[in-house]
Order: sequence, then structure tokens, then C-alpha cells
Amino acid sequence: MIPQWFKNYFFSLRAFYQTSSLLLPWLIAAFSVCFIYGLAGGLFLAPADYQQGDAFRIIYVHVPAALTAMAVYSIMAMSGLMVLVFRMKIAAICMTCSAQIGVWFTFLALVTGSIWGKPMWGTWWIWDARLTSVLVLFFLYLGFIILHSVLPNNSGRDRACAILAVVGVINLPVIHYSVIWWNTLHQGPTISKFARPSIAPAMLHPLLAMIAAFLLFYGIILLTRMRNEILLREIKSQWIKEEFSHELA
Amino acid sequence: MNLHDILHMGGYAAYVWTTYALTLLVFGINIFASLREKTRAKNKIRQFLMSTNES
Amino acid sequence: MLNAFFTIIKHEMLITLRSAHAWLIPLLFFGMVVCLFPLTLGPDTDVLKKIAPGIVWVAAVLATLLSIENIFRADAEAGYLDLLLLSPQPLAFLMLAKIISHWLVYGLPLVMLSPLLGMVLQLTPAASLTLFYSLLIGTPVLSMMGAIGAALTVNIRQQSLLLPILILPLYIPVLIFGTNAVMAADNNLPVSGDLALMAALSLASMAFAPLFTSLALRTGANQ
Repeated sequence: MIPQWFKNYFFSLRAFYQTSSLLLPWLIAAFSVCFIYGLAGGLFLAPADYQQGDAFRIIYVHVPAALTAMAVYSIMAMSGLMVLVFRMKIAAICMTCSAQIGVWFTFLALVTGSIWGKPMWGTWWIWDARLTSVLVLFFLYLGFIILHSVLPNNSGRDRACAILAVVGVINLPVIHYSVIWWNTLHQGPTISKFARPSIAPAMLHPLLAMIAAFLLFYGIILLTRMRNEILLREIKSQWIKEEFSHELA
Repeated sequence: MNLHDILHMGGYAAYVWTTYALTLLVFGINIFASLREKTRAKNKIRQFLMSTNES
Repeated sequence: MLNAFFTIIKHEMLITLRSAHAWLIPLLFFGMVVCLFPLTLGPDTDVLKKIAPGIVWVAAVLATLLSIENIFRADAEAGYLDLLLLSPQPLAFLMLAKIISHWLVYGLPLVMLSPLLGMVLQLTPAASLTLFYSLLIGTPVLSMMGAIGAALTVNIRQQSLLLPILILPLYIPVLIFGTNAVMAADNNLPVSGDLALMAALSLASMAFAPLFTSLALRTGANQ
């Protein structure tokens, strides 16, 4: 069921370690390009919004953070599914490391969203559908991380956390749509201000670049953390001995 | 845009620059934490290999 | 298989009802928490009417979390859980029986008390009745999802609020639809949409939660 190329390059912990060391420089290069263009475009090149003025520039960090937070949760849940169905160790490592990174992006999305809200709606927090959904996502991440830290480090921990991730991702659309629906019922007059206007290309391209940059950053940190975890898990194996004995000698 | 416009951000300077600074801070924390764990992992391996070499 | 199902339900109910005060505790907690709010917010009828659905639902959630925490703990300690894991019946089915019996003993009393609490909080009779229906349809979801959390944390010795932390985000849709049904009833709007959505959530959770619960229990046992 699993393609052979995947097995060769990613499946075993050792193969993943070697493949990731080849991938990392490219990811870092791509991230640097996207991030610099995104920053320059977002802060300087894009014209100021006619409605929100220069405050709209927060979009260039808020939206990528929120999107990445959701994407990371999906990846986390898919890895969890791989753990439950195929019992893949590499998937368990990916799941745990993704959670540790995703929680930061969710936190960033919440704080930047809140800071954006102050000049826009006059309050530090507003119970609109999007921010509330991100808040729930934050709680889901925290729950996962806490469960992972409380459970003892044995074979059951990966599977239990995988179950939590899968249950969370199944519920996530339900929660998201119920929050949207709840928000339309209790809607205040401010929601129209936050409606998305049609966006000019000069504004759009830096946004896409920043989204790519955030996702690439997640990839870089994910691979780094996964490599660390692999080193710790495989500490007794022969290939670690070979790889590092020349380093220590 | 001149330097004054960039720094002032149409009056929203505090908000915009805070968010970007926060982003860089979060990025920095993640990079720092993952690199620190890397040195820790390598130290553990070093310890383990040295202890097994002795025995 | 159906035999095993009803045997488990009867057996569980006999055990839990033997200690007379065990099922009374979440019920009293439910009632007391609801009564705290008029004491803190003042007896103004309009204010109480507005917040009544939210208060009753949140109190029901808290009371359910209290009782669901220990659904598997006594069994795990006594070794009964290992016997269930070894039985030829599909574990998910047995879990469904166990969760249903738990709801009958701990959830149903909450539902029965809710119309009275609704009246106490100055809800109209129609709204109180809708509160009753919403809790009747919604509390099984609370028990089902809570059981997943209880199965994930069954081996954790220390008493902590871990289970609520894990499960509360999953309760949000039920809370939204349940409270909205009551508020709609208060404004003479149709409630069938909300109740139907809750019924869908209830049925879906009855289908999936036992599967995840049994998976989590097997994981916990096989460490």
C-alpha cells in the first residue's frame, strides 16, 4: 500500500534522517526568498488600504499564521491516522513535532488578530467566527501537548495521542461551522468591516509569499525537530554509532 | 514610500510593528529551541557512545 | 450479542445504583451550580431569562465531566476491563452499552431536573420544555465524547482536570445548538432545526465514539 520510493526515502527513521539532511538547505533557501519578498512587499511595496490604512499590513502575518496553524493540525491528524492504521513510527514523530510547532502559529494568529482588532474594532478581543475558531484550535493543540506530556513514555503514548488528534480533526469542521453559525445569529454591526474586499495583485502577491514562507518555516523546524527526535529514539542503534563515531573521534 | 512613512505606518506604527516583531520573536524562539534540542540530543549520543566504549 | 448488550446495561446500573449517593452527587452539583448564578448576578428576571440556557447547559457539561471521569477507573483497577477486552463480543458494542448505562444513571437525572431549573431561572414553560428536549438529545453526546477522554486517560493515576481540558472543545457544537434551541423557543422561533442538528450529532457520536473508546482502551491496556 505504501509506495516503494516513500519507503526508501522517508519511512525508516534512518532514511528520513538522511533524506531530510538533503532537503533542509533547499527549504531554508526557499523560505528566505519567500520571507524577504513577503516582508518587503507587505511592509513597503503594497499600497495602503483605502479603508484600514497601514494597519491592514498586519494581514501579512495574521493570515499566514492562521492558515499555517490549520494546515499543521491537518498534517498532525493525518500523521495520527498513519500511526493508527499503519503503525508508522515516523508518522508518530511527525505528529508530535507538528503539535509543538503548530501551537506557536496558533498563538501568533490569536495575538496578531487581537492586535489587529484594536485599531479596527476598538477592542482587544472580538467574538467573531474566525478568531473563535482559532481559539478552539489553540485549545485542541494544548490538549494534545498536555496529554503527550502526561502519558508515560511507552508504546501506548503515540497511539493515544493519535486517537486524540484524529478525534479532534473530525470534530474541527463541526466546531468551525457551528461557530460560524453561532456568529451569524449573534452578529454585531462590526462584521461588515472585516469582510474581505477584492484584493489588488500588489497586495496579494506578498500575501501568497508570506503564506508560503510560513509553511516553509514550519517544514524547516519540523524536519529539525524530527531529526532530533530520531536521534534520541535511535540512540542505541548501529547506524547512529557509525554516523557519530567519526564526529566524536 | 519614505522612511518617515515606513516608521510611522499612518499612525498605526505601534500595532503593525508589534505584530511583525512578535512574528520574528516566535520564529526566533522556534529556531533557538530546535537548535538547542539538537545540541542536547548530540550530547546525549556522545555520552552514550563514550559509556559503551568504556565498557 | 444483544444479550450481552442488555446484560451489561443491567449490570452497570445495578452496580452504580447500589451506592445510593454516587448518582446523586452530579445531580446536586448540577443544581447547585445553576443556583449560584442568580446569587451572583442578581434576581432580575430579564437577565436570568437571557443567560438561563447557557448556565444550565454549562452546568450540565460540568456535572457530566465530573461523573464520566471515573467510568473506566474502577473497572481498570478491578481487572474487569481486561476481561471485557478479552471477550468475543466486539468491544465497541460493549462500550456502547457501558456508556448508555452511564448516561441512564448520571445523565438522565440531569435531564429530568432541567425543566425545574428552567422555571427557577424564569424561563417560560415553552422554553423550559425546549431546554428539557435539548438536554435529552444532547447529554448522550456529552457522555459519548467524555468516554473517549476517559479511555485516553484511564491509566493516569493522579487526579487532574486533564479530561475536561481534552474534551471541552469537542462539546462546543452541542453547547451552541442546545442553547440556541432554547433561546429560539424563548423568542417563539422554530426549534426543530437546532434539535435536529443535535440529534444528528447524537447519532453520529453514538456510532463513532464507542469505536474510538475501545481503540483507546486497547491502547491503554497494551502498553
